[in-house]
Amino acid sequence: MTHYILSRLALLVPVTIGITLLSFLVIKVLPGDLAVAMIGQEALDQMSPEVLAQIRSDLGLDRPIHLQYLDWLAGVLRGDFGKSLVMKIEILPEILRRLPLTAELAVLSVAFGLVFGAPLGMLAATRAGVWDWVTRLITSVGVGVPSFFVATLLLLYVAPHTPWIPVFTFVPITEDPIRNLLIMAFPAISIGSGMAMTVAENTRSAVLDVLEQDYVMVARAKGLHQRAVIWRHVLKNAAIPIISILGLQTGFLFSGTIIIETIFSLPGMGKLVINGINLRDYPVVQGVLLFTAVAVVLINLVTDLLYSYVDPRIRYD
Amino acid sequence: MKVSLSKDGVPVQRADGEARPAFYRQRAVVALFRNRMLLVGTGMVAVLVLLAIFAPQVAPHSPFEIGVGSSMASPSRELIMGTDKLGRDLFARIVYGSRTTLLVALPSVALSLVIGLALGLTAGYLGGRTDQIIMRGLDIFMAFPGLLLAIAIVSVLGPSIPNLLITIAVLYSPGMARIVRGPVLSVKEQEFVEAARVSGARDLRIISRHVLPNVISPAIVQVTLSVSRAILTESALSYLGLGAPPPSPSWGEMLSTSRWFLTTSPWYALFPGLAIVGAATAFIVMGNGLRDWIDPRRR
Repeated sequence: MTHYILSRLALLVPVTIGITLLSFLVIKVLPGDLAVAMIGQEALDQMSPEVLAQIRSDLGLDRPIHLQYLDWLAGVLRGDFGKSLVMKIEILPEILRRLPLTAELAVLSVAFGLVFGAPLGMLAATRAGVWDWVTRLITSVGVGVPSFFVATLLLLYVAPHTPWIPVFTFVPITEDPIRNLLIMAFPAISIGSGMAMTVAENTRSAVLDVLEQDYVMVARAKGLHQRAVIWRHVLKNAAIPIISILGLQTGFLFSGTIIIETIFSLPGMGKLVINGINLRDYPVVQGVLLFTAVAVVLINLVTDLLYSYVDPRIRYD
Repeated sequence: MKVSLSKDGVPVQRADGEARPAFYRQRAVVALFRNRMLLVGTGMVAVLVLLAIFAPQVAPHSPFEIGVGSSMASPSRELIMGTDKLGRDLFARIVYGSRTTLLVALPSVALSLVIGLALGLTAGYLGGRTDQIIMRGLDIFMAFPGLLLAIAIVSVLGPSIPNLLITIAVLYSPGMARIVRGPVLSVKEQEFVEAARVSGARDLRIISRHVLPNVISPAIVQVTLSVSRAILTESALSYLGLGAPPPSPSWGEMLSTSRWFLTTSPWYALFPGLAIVGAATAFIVMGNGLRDWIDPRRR
């Protein structure tokens, strides 16, 4: 187990370095450069080359690219993601300030996905015929419904009949937990509905695999009731791959929060990215990109370690 | 010698006792037509593609013609889906929007297939350090939330169909490469590959003639599922204003605009949303059906 943990941690280093490199280079792909992109074409046409050169020098853009990267990386390792050029905010503190909301939305979405998706998948796997076909149809269609359409439908058809669920506002959970959870209901359902379909599909596959195992046949042969077979033998073993799927969905969750926070005006990390794009404040976009990628890698690592702890066969592969 | 027949009446065995290839082909075709999900999915995709091709014949007006009706007119007999804020026929914009969607989704996934095949075959076949370098590179790409990376790339390159195409292709290539690499690792150990190697065949010939045909099936399934995701990604980017620039009709952009008219024109949100769901679902159903046909154990 120790060897497995150490090997996974060792793998983290080159991947993290690669993430920083890609995050840095994405902004460098800008036509022109960061200064030109920020200033905009209209202002650029009226600007003298000397002023533009001065701006580029102030931003450090006239230095060799590898030095710009090393300088930026050194700052990142010190916990300094730089300062937003348009919004005039320190990027990392702003990300950390908004992180609790985005994390809360992600957790609530996962909870919704599990609560609705797992039973649906179990139903499909344990009841053959029409039930299975209907469930597969629901999950096939459900996966194709984008979160922003679910949000639109909720606002259109549910919100008018539920005035006690606040929308387009936000209260931190520390201030008013009940109001906070009500506010997060529609956003969590919007993202969680897609999650539920993925969980249902994977639960169905996992349960079908487990149902074919010899020990399940033995349990049935012993005369155990179907419910006991499911709860005592099938569920525990089917839960293992579902745990790993949840870890892999971290990227999907964050992608969902970007649009949903925008729709419901929630001041999370997703909204920060959209603000950065609208204002052409690319250092903010870069900072969020780096932060979320590293977070995804760490969450996947924790999921893998949890998975190997629960299923010892994994760490010997 | 007695020749066995299948219940379809096809001779199962050749005279020397080996099973006829025709038997397997016929069984595969029968399984294909019994696969309702694949048939339904293929039908839906065909409708979508035909709609895109014959858009000028299907739509009664140009999607760019302003003032066809009054602004935000509700559905009527003349304008079956109503109009948008510029008085353009919404039905025409939905129909032509299928072109935008397919023009982005299909080529981008095709490109990701080419890149993914190249990377997956190289990594899986060569193995060793090459495999490690390629896989770690893919890990780095896949660490980024897909939509966030797409937003970052499109926002710096500028929203246009070619940039969307490139972005989505870059996004889905790593997943495609992973899907291809798995089967390559097992196929390259097969005896027929070893036989080809021993007989003097070069690596490129072995990969193209022996390895690729045996790993293409999961890639094809992945392609159909990737198209559905590409449709959703294109819609999401359009929703955020990073899709095909106006006045190109785009379902995501229409759905985004509908936010401001939810109370006054609630129908405006439904049509583009249902179009997105229909298009994505078509490819998902087709992909699931294809997966069941190729590997019946997964059913």
